[in-house]
Amino acid sequence: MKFLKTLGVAASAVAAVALSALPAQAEWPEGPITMLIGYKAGGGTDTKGRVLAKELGKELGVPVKVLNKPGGGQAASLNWFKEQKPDGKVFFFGASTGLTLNPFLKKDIGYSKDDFDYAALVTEFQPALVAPASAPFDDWKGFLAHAKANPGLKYAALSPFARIIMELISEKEGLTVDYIPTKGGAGMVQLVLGNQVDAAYSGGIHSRYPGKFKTLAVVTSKRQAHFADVPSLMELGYGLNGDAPTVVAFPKGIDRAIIDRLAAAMKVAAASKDMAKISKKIMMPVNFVGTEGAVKFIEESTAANKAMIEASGYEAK
Amino acid sequence: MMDELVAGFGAALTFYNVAFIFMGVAIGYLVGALPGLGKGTATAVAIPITFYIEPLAAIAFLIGISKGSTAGSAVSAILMNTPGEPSSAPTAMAGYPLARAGKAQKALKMGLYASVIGDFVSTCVLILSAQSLADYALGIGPIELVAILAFSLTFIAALSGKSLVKGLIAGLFGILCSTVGTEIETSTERFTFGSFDLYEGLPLIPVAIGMLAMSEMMVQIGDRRRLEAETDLLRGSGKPEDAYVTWEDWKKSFKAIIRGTGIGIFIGVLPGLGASTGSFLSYGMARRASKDPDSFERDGAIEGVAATESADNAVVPASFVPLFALGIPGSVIAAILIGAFVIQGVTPGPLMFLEQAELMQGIYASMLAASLILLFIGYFGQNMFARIIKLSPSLVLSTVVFLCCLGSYLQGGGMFGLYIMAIFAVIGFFARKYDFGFVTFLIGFVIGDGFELALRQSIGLLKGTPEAMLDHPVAIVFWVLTIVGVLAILRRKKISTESAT
Repeated sequence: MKFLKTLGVAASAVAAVALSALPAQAEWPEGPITMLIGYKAGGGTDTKGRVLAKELGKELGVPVKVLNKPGGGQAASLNWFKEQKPDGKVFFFGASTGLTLNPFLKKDIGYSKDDFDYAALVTEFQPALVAPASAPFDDWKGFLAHAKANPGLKYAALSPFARIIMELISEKEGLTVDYIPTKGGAGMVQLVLGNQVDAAYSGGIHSRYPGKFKTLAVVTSKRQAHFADVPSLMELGYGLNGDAPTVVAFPKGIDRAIIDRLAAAMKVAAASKDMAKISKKIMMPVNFVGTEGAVKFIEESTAANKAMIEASGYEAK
Repeated sequence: MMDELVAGFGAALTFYNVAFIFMGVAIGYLVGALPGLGKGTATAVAIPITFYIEPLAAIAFLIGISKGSTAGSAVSAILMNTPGEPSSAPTAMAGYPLARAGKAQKALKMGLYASVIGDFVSTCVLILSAQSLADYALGIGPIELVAILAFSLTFIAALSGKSLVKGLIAGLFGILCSTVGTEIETSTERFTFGSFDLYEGLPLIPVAIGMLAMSEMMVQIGDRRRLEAETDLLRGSGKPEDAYVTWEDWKKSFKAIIRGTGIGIFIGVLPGLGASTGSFLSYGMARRASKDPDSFERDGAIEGVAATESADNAVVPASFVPLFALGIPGSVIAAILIGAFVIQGVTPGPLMFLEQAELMQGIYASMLAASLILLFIGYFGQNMFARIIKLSPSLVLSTVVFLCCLGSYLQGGGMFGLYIMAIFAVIGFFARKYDFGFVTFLIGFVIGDGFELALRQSIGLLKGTPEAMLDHPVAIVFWVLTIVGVLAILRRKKISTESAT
């Protein structure tokens, strides 16, 4: 009996040594991992994230669970995430603006881009300034003319950034705009389809309603494939953009081997058939960028946003 | 339209699909009947299962769960005075006294029939007029919503128990609690005390479980002797007419069910009002229509159960109107379903009827089938659940406490949900002891958020010019009704104080 016990201990010791001798990338992931999403279940990022998690699970051979921690424009999730151990058990999937823009809009946000390590960029948001189909103008020029002739235009703002963009434009153009707050894309659609407002900021959801919206200007710095004839705010000379790919991140200090393994699996998952189908449905194009590109983007985007907000004279609240 | 629906039935009523609808309704009813667990938990937990089944079966399964759990939540409300979710709170108010009078079986059956009628009628309305109802819902903007919500708030009086002042205090405390979190316009934190968990506000489900279920368990555990005496009563009076719904009961409840179904559809179609508003409103109106409103909570009232349950269930299909026609979720369930739809490759919204016409007709057919299956499962399920009251209270109470913790953990983001539940259980305990209406607290809490948003939107839309109100006749009608309601309450109060002296 005692001999058997000794043998058992010896065997497990050998096994432990053998395991620890294996390179790290072969170990990860040992068990189920979690994808953290800073928005509510059911939104655009969540929808994409869930499909991606399913594909990623197939690729990594372990279940990938989705954890929603909504609040404060991803601030709730990022503050929680910053405190997690960098052991690869949880990674973040969300809009880059949470990291590269929001810290300039809000004082004491609690985190900065330097609290995290970046693995990849996966998809792109397609934000735009829109108007209801019934609007008496068709394009940006018409909108400006109408807004100047009719002071007190109603504009639905679903986030502080949505409001800031219009504030800066109205300052430059001398418009007076009334801001109507609203909750999320669904709330914005309700106000526009119900003809309650004259214009609105859309995170991209408007492209699901053909014939119900007029797209006045896109908020990405480049034009969007679906609205090839609509100019961007950059082109129009406002120096404003809300470029926001979805970024994959870990808490700072993660093993480089884990980043590489996840980025490789993410690349395959992003190219899957289901991802292609879903990105066409919700019109959020997949544009996979690897680790080096992601790190570079985060740095550049942070610098550009900082300059943009400083140039605008906006003061963080 | 009819041909398509018939074809939809053909596609929906395969053995495979019906089995999933059946399973969905059964799981939903079971989960709903357990105190502490409600439709949100049931649907959210079931979504991963649907990854592996066909789209129609998956969606039908989830809709079955939401219908089953909505009806099931009446069971624990009536038998244990612990509603599974806020929308069934009035069922407990009018139904638990009935159970204590030995009429548990009767109340359960009426709750089920009212649920099925509300659900079935609302499903038919959805099928026949989703598009036109959605257009009407879009015409109801923030200015109208404020008026409708103010009107709903006047029913706080009907639900506030003996003291109107205490009811108002509880209601205002509820509104205060609803302001916790980041403010809508500038993302400024309010009452978060530096906790990021509170950014999205106090989570509804743990607050409701703490207030409704856990506090009741604390009261019951503290009073075992009385409880055991009552448990004897709950086992039934032995009179056969107390075990089923008599013609007399139907006559009493008929109007309440019709009214409740109508209210449920009206509220469900409007995005952002929620199931609780519908059932509170329906209960309040049934109470106001009664000759002896105070008997509702004292002796129990079969029409109170009927009014609440018909409205609660009518909200579910009606809340799919904005989801199907506009892609806007009208309720928590609809929001969860959006995720499930998209995973199945279907984007809810106006395009769905064009791109996925066959699937949509299949969903409609499945929803009708789910109504009938609900009647069947509810009828036999109740016999099983009614046996719970034959168990020893200590066994039941400990199980309920466990389930409450589980529900709060799942829906409140882990341990944070448990802490919130514990805090509100203590608040709820004292609210019960000192007769502060905990139901009016919930009305304030549930309505507060939407009320604030709609009010602030209205101020922007009206641009500070009161005469702009003249363009909103619907809002004016509801404001007049609100004023009439408040005057009626004041008059009744005056009469009762005069007769008391």
